[in-house]
Amino acid sequence: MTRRFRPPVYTTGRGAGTRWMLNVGDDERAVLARLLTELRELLTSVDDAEGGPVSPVLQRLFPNAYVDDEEKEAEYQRLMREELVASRLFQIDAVSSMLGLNGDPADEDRADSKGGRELDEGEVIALMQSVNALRMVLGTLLDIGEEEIEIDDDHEMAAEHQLYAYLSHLLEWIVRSLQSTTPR
Amino acid sequence: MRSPPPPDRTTQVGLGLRARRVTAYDRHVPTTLEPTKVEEPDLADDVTSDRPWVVLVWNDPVNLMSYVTHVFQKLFGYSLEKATELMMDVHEKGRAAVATGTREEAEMHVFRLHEHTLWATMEHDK
Repeated sequence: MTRRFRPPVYTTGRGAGTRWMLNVGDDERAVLARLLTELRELLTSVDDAEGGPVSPVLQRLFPNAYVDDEEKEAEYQRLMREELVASRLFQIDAVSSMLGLNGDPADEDRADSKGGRELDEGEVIALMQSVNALRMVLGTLLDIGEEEIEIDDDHEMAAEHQLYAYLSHLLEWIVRSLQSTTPR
Repeated sequence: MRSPPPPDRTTQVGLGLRARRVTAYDRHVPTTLEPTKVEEPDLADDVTSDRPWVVLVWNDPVNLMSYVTHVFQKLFGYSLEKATELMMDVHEKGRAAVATGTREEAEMHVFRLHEHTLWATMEHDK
């Protein structure tokens, strides 16, 4: 008997009847939970110097809007940075909830008999944005470049590279699932 | 001749946030920007205010090609073909102009691109 491959996120139905299913195991949920906790701490940490964030990771999470106008840039950051943090934290909360990490009994009702969980489009989008933010942090820390490189198992950052690859795999399936309801 | 009074950016920003097309994305975007925080435009802005702003997306090695294409489709309503073309411009030429508009419109586009962790900036059309 062959077992059919089931992606981590997939759709059933079509058009307005489209439903998304989340299919990640307990181990993956635990990893995502830990990463999201770290991301939350990172988003609320501040290491700003006069020109904005100092660490490359925070610079990448909070890029400049204006490259050659310090005054407008300062005004933009004053208005929008908190908004960006709030938006990201909102998405993390949504993802934590869908992963069943908030202990919300209502979540139990949305689990199917195969251990999957039904998601609405907004939740899938929150998952997509959070997963990509995690990839951005890890990718920046690992100094990921355009060229794919082979990482040996005994590489000191092998685990982080594996994690990055997993998140890329997850994101690819999330995007594919959302494309099914995106007009071509 | 007197020039017309500068537009009230306070009103524009507030309306700009509320008037844009509501999508599934908006359910996760708190729109609590306080209009009182917005300053009046300085007069120097008026000289260049007729020129549109251009929103640029820059290449980076982390964002997946499929993801970037999807974000362009969702945020700007581009067809798959147009979004793919822009994504390839970013990938091959290092950057692409993905939208133009007023300063407020461009800032909102940049914000939403930043929400998606794309590397976006804006500048005056040259």
